[in-house]
Amino acid sequence: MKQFVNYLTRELQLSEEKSEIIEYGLFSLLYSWLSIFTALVLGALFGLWQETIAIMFMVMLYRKVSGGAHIGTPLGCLITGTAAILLLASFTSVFGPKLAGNLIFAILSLAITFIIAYIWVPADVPQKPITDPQQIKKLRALSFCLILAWGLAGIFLFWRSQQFAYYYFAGNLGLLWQSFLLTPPGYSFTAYLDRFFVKK
Amino acid sequence: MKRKLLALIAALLAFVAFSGAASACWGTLYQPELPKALRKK
Repeated sequence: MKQFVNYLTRELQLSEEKSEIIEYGLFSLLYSWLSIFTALVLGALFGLWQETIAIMFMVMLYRKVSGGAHIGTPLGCLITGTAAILLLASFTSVFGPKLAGNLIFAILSLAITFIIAYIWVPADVPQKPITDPQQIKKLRALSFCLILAWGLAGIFLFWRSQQFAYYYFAGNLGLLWQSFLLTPPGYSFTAYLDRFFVKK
Repeated sequence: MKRKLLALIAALLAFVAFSGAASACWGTLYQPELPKALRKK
């Protein structure tokens, strides 16, 4: 990847600053797609690809606007993120048929997500600090809009079909997992996992 | 032609980088350090 960035820098005579930006963009693109691909392939292998998609969609979408705890290495992130999504997908397949139509669970999930968002969003990390008040305001607004939109989608889905309620349940698990990563225990959890991935 | 293609790729990657910088994080559990040029003051 670095070789490709160096090639671009040389051919286009880019400044060091622009080269860094392109490297960041390339890593972002490749790594995000690798995470999605890995989770989908493993989800398909376990017969849980639909649940995986629902959970991953909500986690990544909400994470983009809310932030949260991170793992220290790309490999650690790939392993932990994929494992978490597959575990949630398994949980969905076991408990989804019983709990998917449960309105109380749906309302409780949204309430917990909202409360955590109110207290901790956006949750930043030293590698990507969020200090600009305008950006904080924007990310908070986007987070609450997303939660509200998800809540409205839930009302529509429950009204329309129980089948969709199963995937809505999966999405709610994704929201709850991401909400956990916004909290101090979430940060402590990822710091604990870092011990296995970050060499000291 | 080659130069135009490379410039287009570089522009797309820069767009990805800037749009990523505007969000709270990438969307995965890993977050590399943001380049100084992308940090908001």
